[in-house]
Amino acid sequence: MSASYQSILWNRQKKIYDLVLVCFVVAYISIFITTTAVLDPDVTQETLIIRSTSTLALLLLHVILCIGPLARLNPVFLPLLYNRRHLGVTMFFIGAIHGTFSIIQFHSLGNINPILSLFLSNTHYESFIKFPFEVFGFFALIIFFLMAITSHDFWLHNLSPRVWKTLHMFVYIAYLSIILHVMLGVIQYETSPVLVVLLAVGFVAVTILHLAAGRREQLNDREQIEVKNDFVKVCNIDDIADNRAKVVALNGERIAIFKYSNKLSAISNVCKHQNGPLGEGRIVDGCITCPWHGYQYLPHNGSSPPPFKEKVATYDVKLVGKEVWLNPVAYPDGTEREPATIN
Amino acid sequence: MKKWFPDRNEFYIGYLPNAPDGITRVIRKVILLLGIISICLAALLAWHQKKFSPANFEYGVNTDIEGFIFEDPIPHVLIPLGRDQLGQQLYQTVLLVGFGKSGSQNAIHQILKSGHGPGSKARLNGSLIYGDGKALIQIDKVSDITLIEGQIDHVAAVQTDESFSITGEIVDPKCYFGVMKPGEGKAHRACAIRCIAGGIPPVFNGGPDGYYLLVDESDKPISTEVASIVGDVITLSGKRMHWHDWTILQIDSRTIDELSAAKRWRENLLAFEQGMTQCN
Ligand code: HEM
Ligand code: FES
Repeated sequence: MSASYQSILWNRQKKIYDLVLVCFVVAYISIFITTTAVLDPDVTQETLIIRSTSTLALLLLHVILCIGPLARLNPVFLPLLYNRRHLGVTMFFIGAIHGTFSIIQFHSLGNINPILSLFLSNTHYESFIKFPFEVFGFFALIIFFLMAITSHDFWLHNLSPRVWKTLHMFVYIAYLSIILHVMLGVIQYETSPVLVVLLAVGFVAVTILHLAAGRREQLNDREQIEVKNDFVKVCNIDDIADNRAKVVALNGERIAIFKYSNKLSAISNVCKHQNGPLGEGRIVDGCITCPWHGYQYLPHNGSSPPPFKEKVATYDVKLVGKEVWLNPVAYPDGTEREPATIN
Repeated sequence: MKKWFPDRNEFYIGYLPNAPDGITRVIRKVILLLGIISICLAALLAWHQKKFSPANFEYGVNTDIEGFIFEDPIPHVLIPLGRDQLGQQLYQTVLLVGFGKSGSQNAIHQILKSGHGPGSKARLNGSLIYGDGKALIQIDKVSDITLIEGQIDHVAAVQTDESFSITGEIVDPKCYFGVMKPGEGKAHRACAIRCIAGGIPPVFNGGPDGYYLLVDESDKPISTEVASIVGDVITLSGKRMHWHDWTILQIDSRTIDELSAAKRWRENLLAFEQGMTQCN
């Protein structure tokens, strides 16, 4: 967290994640290259590099885009989300190898600068079908580059989470850009429908998963309660499991009410790191622990334990018999509130 | 199904050394499945690529060839092959191209000026490019050409058809006949344009009807005029001529202009390039 980036150095799980990722990359590239070279020995080495890396980057991009909604739909996928940054940076590097080799192969050693050549060779910008598809690849690669260099938490804090999140939403623009890059490029040359069909399947999968995850969020928010500056009844004390939370949406804000050590505390549901859903987290060692990357907050004041500095809003909560009542007026981030005691 | 959704009470924390058992079990399966799918995809995508041409570029290998060099209509060297039944001398034409995406006009012009003009015999040292019965040689620098004793006269092309039409696409012969695979089509369009803009003479690929060099009404080679229609399927009409082991198509240069408003485009290209050269 903010005061100590070292706290999340390469641990055992990260090492396993990276090892699996490296094996996956090596396996994909070797199989693509071997299959092509065996079936068609006339291929050139440059084409092998360009195509093995491009198709792998495309595959990784789909995996990256599916992990988010999958983890929203089922927490079992959270281990894939935790180190998604590594997947993103790897995808960028592989895409960059493809882009660099394409620029060297198709645009270098000419009469103008290779990067300018990318934009000025095929100038059919007026036509959709003849459009210079390379430009879409270049544009997407720039976005992946910006995302890769700002992927570390250092940048998240320096750019502010809002700017950072906005920048990282550009991945969807990059994704559409890549689809155009492929559809207006090599698809017009190839005769086999395999790449188009796979691209369509990938697109449908990404879309459906996002819609499903979005719909789940909507259902969760359905119990929206409109209230004034007063306590409202939220649920029964038995509706909340020990060391877990119930999330309620009041006046458009999501609030998590945690039950722990015979106490109840309410804090904002939105993690200061990347807006993770704190209410889906647990109390671990007395701290509310975010399910996404494990940032921790003390339940009674919404502050991360020292030396960390994250703070979220807190709320008043009380028990009336077995009923849990909540006041939806937020206290400033990190304000200490007396927990309600369960007798 | 139950095995896929472990106990919801398990809670994953990424920075701890171990993940809970149930989650670990599921994630292992997910990764295994993903691995298998990816391997299948790699093989499937590799298998379904369009066949590559068997053309060849002897990259890094230098070969000496001897023949008679000409700069018109495009730089080439004629290598004597022997005589046909009528006693006529036969030649293999080897087109001359420069390093990277550049033509060899300047080098050949310089050499011919220093010798006895067109048809001078020379020894050339360069990398061969060949495919589908056509050959080219990449000459990196003027010093790779040495003039030697001997000269022949220019052999004029012989007209075989007054009006001839053919459908196909314009390619840059350097990439098409071996340097790149694929060296044609949309994915290669930008590269072909760059090669042609750099002085590599365009070739018309008529598919089963063979390859054509393009010249205008006054036998001048057609070059950057076609840049905007490279890689498009087009139909060209003109006079067909037989010339050594090549066919030449003499077209009305207006055809090209009409085909794609190429003239305007070409002017833009040249303007851009002049601007760029100045910037550099
Ligand atoms: C500077 C950036 C880029 C350039 C200049 C570029 C250029 C190209 C070119 C010339 C091709 C056709 C190659 C062929 O004949 O096979 C191609 C294909 C392709 N590109 Fe890119 N590209 C860039 C970035 C990207 C990125 C970032 C991705 C994906 C994440 C990507 C994915 C693909 C895919 C999937 C194909 C089709 C498969 C293939 O033919 O390689 N490209 N690209
Ligand atoms: S969102 Fe990353 S830890 Fe909460």
